[in-house]
Amino acid sequence: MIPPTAYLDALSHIDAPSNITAARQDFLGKFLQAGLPDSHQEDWRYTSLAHLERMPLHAPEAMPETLPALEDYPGALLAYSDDRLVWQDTTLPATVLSTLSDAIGSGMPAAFGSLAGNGSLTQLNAALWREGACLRVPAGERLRQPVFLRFAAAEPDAMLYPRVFIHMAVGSDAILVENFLGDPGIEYWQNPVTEIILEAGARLTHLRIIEDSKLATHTGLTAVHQASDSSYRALNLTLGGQVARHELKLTLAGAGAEARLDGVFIVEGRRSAEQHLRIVHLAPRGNSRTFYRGLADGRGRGVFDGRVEVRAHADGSDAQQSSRNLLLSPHAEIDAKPQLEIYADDVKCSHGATVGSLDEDALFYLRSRGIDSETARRLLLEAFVGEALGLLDDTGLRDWMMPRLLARMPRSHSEESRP
Amino acid sequence: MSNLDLQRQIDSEYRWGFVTDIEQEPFPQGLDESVIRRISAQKGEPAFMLEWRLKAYQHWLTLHEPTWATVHHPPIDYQKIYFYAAPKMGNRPKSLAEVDPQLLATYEKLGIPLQEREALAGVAVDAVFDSVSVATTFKDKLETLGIVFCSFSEAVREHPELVRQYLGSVVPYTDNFFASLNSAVFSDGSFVYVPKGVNCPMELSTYFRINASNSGQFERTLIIADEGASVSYLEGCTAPRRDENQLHAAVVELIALKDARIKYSTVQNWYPGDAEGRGGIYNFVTKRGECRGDNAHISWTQVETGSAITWKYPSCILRGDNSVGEFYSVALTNHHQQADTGSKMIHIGRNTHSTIVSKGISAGHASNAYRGLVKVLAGADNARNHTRCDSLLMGPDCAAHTFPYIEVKNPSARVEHEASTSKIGEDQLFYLRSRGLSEEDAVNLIVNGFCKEVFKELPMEFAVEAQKLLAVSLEGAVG
Repeated sequence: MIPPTAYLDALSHIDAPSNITAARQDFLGKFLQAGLPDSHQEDWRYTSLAHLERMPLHAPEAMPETLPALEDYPGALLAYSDDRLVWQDTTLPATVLSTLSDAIGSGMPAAFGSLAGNGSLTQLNAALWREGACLRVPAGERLRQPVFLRFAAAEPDAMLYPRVFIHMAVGSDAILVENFLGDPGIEYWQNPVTEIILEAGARLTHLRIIEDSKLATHTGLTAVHQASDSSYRALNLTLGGQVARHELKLTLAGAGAEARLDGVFIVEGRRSAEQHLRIVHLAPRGNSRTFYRGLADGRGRGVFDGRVEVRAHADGSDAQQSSRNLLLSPHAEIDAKPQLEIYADDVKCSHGATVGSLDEDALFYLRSRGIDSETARRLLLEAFVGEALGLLDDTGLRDWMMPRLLARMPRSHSEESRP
Repeated sequence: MSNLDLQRQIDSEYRWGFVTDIEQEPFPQGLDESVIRRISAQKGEPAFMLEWRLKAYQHWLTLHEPTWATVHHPPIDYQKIYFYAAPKMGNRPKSLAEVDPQLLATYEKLGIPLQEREALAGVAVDAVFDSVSVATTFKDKLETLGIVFCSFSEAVREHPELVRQYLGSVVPYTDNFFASLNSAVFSDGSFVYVPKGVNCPMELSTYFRINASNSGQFERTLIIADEGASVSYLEGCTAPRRDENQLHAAVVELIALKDARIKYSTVQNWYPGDAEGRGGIYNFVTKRGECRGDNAHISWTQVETGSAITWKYPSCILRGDNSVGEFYSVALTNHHQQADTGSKMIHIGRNTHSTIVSKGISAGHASNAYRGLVKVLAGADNARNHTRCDSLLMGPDCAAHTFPYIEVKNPSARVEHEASTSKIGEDQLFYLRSRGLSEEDAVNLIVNGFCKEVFKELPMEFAVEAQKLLAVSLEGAVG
């Protein structure tokens, strides 16, 4: 196991606001007691973090000196490298968008830390986060530009704990993009936690893009709490990481709240991508739509684990879940676990999950129209994935995102790898 | 439906809740090696059986009772259970005339045609009263075809080679907590062997009945269809009313060799407990079939309306190429009943197909869960699975859950899962009522339609019983 000294050492290097130091020690104690989750725990049955034990993990040491060349981000931007703010480009006042340490320095945001729960990795993040972002959109305000949070990794074997807190006041409206990436070829562990509170009538569109290095481990959590008539729309894209796992805990706590969760994951090589969704309908007339598409190539493994819980008295709830997956190689694997837990009777819930391969008839049709098989295959894969990308149009980010996504599409295959 | 009707339904007594007063020779409470030795000795078992039981017991001691099912019950004290109870009868009766008349009267009340009644010709009954099989019918007819249909104890004595070869080959004694317990202490059950190429001409049937208070029943059923054979087996249960919870941990193993077919149908109507959920049967069953040869076919059909707690996942291991596994289930829970049931389909061979159709109905304070696994291994080219789970909710206090697991390692496989949960549509009810149907008839019609896909898989005798059972169990559940 990773020696506790690695974590204790990381804790001692944090120059955090002093008002939370005791709490950090408490969290670390709880994590050390529980340890890393393993596959004996039902929620972790498909995940192995055993490789972390073999890595010389440590808190990032070097202070990045030069700014990385940043691509064009069409909106406000906070850019981090190894858990330090290295660049910002924003005209928003600090009361709206700031680093998390600045926000906490000027008073702890209400409800910070209240949503993340007590998973052991979440507690580790609570103990060891060094920097992050805080976005607080005032009541009735609509941000005209998307807010980008870019978390990059540059140091090998670093443990990174980005922390984000989002508060959408009554009737506010914003677009948020979280982007996780790292230098190609380096190993590191990214363990971010994002908490999002939507007050009554607030609207948030949230893109979360994992483009970590092919050797990286990503174990992220997003926790969302929705008050009445709020709307949370998310697009989760898992395109990188050796082991990439994202857990989304969403609570529809107010009547008439609405959530739409879209996602795409693409795995090849020996990569694995896991989506764990926990949707809880607490209040009447909640509406949740889940729409995930997965591609598994090479020896990749994709996991879709979605659970919808409708609690007693959440009458009129409507929850639909769809997970469709394609296996593109004889060695790839897809595991799907769409679950419903219903404790109310006036509900409409359904889920569908499919695992299959590309439709030979569709390929044949396209080829009979004179399209070569590579192009035909690409068209079909893009169309398949495209079904889950509707939010790119709604946010105007299609041009920004599509080239990055297409670059991750599975490469063309020789005949022998097809069934 | 008025509240009065609802109340009347809820208060209605369990129809089969009578107790037959027959002298029992109980073992002491609790479980240790000596109890197992005594069970084995009493049955005159060969040494290999005792050895197997003891290994199972040793393994069981290392296990913990599973907690993952979404069911709740007070902890079971395994040292308070009578692990074996046999009606006192001395030697086995040679004919019905020698059978205790009280016993026969019990069967009479249940309507079991123990005497060879031509009216139910085609059904051979191997009746299990508590733990000892008391009479078997149609045996001669089956014998001429070479079919072995007898109690498990008899099979151990008469066909030890078959038992030794197949027992535990699908559900090993290490399989799970309850299967291990069963392996150690199983009292009796049914044994069927259909030889090569033989088509069993009648539906084989067994009635189980739990009688002695606090006597856990540990049935063991083993059905083997040799190459090209086919057999259809029916299992049906009712149990007398008792206040203490009764544990039932059965194991059923099916083995279908090349080109063989086994159809296993169950109607389960054990005492579900009273309206507060007291005193029902705990039914923790391990049922699994293996399509061991190519083109084998195993089909499970079940209608579950009884038991306080049901924990049951009839499964198919599709090892042979082109083999087929099917699971059709209706599970109805009312009052405080809890059911956690589903199926596993393990695709190992090529071109293997499986179908799962699960219909869950929850009413009152009941909870009903589907839990299943469809696993396609890397070698299972062109495997196909279609799973459909529907839940119907009646009333604001019931619960319905779906926990499917899908694990696919072959790109030529096609696996589809769909599930839905809803209540009976007001508009459907309104439509039927506007056509002059009473609310009760309308509900019955809708529920029957909801379950039709499963009922049509049942053999005739059971299909009729199942529909009646459902109607009785559901009357007054919607109002």
